[in-house]
Amino acid sequence: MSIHEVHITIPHREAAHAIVQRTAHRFSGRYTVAVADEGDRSCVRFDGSVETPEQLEREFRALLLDDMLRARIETETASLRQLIVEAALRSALREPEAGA
Amino acid sequence: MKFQLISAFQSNADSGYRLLPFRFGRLPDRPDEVLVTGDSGRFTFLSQADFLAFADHRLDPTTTRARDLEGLDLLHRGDRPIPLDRHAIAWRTRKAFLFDGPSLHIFVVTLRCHHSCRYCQVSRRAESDAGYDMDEATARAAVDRLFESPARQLTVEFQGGEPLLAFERIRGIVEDIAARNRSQRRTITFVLASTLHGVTDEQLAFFREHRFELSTSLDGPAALHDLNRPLPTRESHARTLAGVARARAALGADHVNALTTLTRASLAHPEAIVDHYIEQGFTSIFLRPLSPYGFARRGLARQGYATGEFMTFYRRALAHLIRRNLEGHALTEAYATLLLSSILTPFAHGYMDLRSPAGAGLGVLLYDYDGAVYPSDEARMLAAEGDRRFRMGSVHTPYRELLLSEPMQAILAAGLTEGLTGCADCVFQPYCGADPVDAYARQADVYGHRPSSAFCARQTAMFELLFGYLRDGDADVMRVFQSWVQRRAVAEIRGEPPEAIDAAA
Amino acid sequence: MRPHETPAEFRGVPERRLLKIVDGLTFARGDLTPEQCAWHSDRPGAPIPDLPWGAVLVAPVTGSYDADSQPRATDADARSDAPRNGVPQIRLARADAAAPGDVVELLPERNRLRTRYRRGANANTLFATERCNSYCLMCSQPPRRVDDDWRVNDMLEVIALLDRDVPELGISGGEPTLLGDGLVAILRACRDRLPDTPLHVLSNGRRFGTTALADAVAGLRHPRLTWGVPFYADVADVHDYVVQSAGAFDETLHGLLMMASKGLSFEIRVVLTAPTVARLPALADFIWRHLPAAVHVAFMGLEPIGFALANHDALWINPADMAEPLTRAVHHLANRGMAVSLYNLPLCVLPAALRPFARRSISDWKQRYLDTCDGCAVRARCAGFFEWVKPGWIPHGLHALNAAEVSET
Repeated sequence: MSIHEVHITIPHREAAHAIVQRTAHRFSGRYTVAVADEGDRSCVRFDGSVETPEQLEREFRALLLDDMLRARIETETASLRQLIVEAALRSALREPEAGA
Repeated sequence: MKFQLISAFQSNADSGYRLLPFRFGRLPDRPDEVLVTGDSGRFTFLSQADFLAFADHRLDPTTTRARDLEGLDLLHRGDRPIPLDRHAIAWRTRKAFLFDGPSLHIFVVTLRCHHSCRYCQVSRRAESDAGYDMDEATARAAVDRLFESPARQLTVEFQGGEPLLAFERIRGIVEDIAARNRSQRRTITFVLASTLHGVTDEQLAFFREHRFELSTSLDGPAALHDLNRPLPTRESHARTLAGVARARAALGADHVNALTTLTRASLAHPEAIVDHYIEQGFTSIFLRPLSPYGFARRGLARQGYATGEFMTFYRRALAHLIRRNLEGHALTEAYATLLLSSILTPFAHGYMDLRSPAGAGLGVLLYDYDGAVYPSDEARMLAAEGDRRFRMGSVHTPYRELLLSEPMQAILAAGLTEGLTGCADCVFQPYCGADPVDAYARQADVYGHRPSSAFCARQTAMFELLFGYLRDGDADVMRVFQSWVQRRAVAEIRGEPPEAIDAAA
Repeated sequence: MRPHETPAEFRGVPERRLLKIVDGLTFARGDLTPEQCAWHSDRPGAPIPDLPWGAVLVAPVTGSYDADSQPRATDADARSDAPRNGVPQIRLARADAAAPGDVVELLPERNRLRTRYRRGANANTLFATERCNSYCLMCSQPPRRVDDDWRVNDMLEVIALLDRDVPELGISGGEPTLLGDGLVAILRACRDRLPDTPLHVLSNGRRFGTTALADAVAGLRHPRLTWGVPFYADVADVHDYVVQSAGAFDETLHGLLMMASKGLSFEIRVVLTAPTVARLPALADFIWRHLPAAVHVAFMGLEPIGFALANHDALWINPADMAEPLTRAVHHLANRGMAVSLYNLPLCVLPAALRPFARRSISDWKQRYLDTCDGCAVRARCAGFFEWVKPGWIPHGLHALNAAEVSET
């Protein structure tokens, strides 16, 4: 027996809506996924054949934790990453023979 | 003499450390470990606990673990400015192809072919059909474009159809290029993709003179090959081997390579295909899954297969290859070698399909027999099916206009894995690439949709397989991998006992 | 390098301080004036060409002398060696102290002759400066804060006297790059006079990162120039501690990256000390990932001299205790196609897998073997020991290797 619709609700204080969207997107190959911003929480709806909704929710929440960490690391390192790429492009333009 | 203790050179523990840009993920069968990859492709495995401590700034900066991660370019201890040069140069080295311009120039000299392979990637024409050969004016203009590319190292590849059916055109193009290169002084490699059926001594002498690399198709033992590649006479396999033997005699074995196309029928025989390549004296095999283009798409139902089925085949093939290499048979798998080179070396690779920005157009230009210019073979296939959206212009369009054409704008916009949803934060991003033309062909969207992309599924499975081997660190397997990456004999590679990874900590 | 000095008796006052020793063949093949040369008279009574030599060398009186004994003139010698045309004469204490092709420095005020270049030696080095911007725990040539810029012109003079086919030449210090443009002038002189001679400069590379030196050196386009740069760890604190200089790691790495991007040839030299061995595998991977252009990586045993003596306890580690990390580091680099060598380590204390990488690295004049080495089957290709090796610096487990053990290598 499989269920055809599963809802997972994540309060914004747990995870920002954009991060919930990012995690939900990862499931969009297996299910039809919709994410709604409902004021103080995000609501994720999965349509499709779901064998065990508990398993799906566990998986979702585990990936969400990772994505929250990813978002934090990206915020922390984004400016450095940009500086590195800029320095690389600058040096490559200065030394057209280099980089091989 | 006053000497200071090491503590005098350490920043104090309170100043902590900063994170350098990295991505992370997990392998399916190791949920308690985290794979961390830096932007320049260096990587490590950490236990879940260590990873969280690292990412949450809870590591003691004076510990060996913190030092290890700093040496791997994943963090920077102390509060002094982070020197950017080593990271910038590492990044630049991996993106070296960016600064060269198109280096691969493909000439489709004819669409005619004597085969009628059901999965054929090219929209072939019968051997006797007229009007499907490249004419001289087109060829000369294409060579103009070739030399407009700034790349110092150029590869010129002849494709068909069966390009040998238009040998005189090949000769004309090569001689034109050679003459112009006397003043241009580029390093040029010529490649011919051919069945080698009926190749003549005169042709071989010409290929030898110009140091051609010959690339043919060999799908495995005779029964499999002939099933895949029907000829009226049912002797494709025998004729291919005869062509290979004559080509080797003329050019040397290292100038003759073969590619494998895998159909559904192939998937049951990974060991037999590998062994056949060894028996036939090849040193490289390229286990290519069927591509979705051209006639192949129509035959998919019967000959096609899902990523999972391909990976089951590929896992067996790779394990068998490793065994045979350890027995002393030097046979590399080209795709694994490519990915491993990207993972295990600091250098850029030449493979167009795994670049970011995409190789299409930026790395490759394809000149079709009728004078159209495309950014890749896939773009030509789409055009042959009636969708000309990736046609950049004609061989008479100046290089600059070709590179600024509308199709290239689309490719540039969608060709950066650093910016694509599902790619940008993928742990395998440093080793993977974007191919907007492929994404469009598969999913009707240049940006593609990773969660449902067969390309992404296969790439992910390949990386998981290879990183699984790297994590296991079996000394013999590592020797085989290094021998492939370094193009050396396995016997020359010395054991590197892996450092214990403290996954329990 | 510590130049050899030999007692010598001077007759007449030489005008030049530096001279090249010549015989007929060397003089004829060379491009020097007689004034730049000291005629080497190896047979008493042999005719001396009548040219305005810078000096004439005469052999010691028959019989051997101890190194420190003063030469004595005899009546016979005095006859043939009488100064002619005012050419100064130099009588050496030992006949083998100078030979054609050598470049010597005359020290009449001290009755000494100093060998600055020795033809046929397995290493010849120009000493650039006593100054250094690092203060390494194991420095074999402890730096001094002196103004020795005079060495630039001195080295230029030596270079002008060298055989044009010098097989190889080194420049060391101190830190040669502290000479600034003076070093560039020296490298230019080497390029012009000795374009085929491999030139090896030992430098910590720090000033390549902080000055325009990389551009100046790259502009010389010396065809055979290699920089030997010490680099001790993949992380700053370990390296900075060994060289006793905060910020040195960043500067040296920056310098190495500059060298690589300018196309300069460099090798990396890793001295094996207790604080650095644990990170050798990590260092090897760091080099492969960031400095794959290195033409050579040398892992070097400690030289028990200079500051090393004072820091024995902080630095000394038995080769047996570094076998595991050292093997991993060497294999890591060698597997990736990088040239790797082990210097200053006796073969018998290395794991068999590492012996093929060991070189007989210690210069002839400062190398020796121990009693244990008697009867060793591989003695002839073993680095052996520094002449001044002493208790506390001798590896555990030294033993003569027999033929069976050798066949494994």
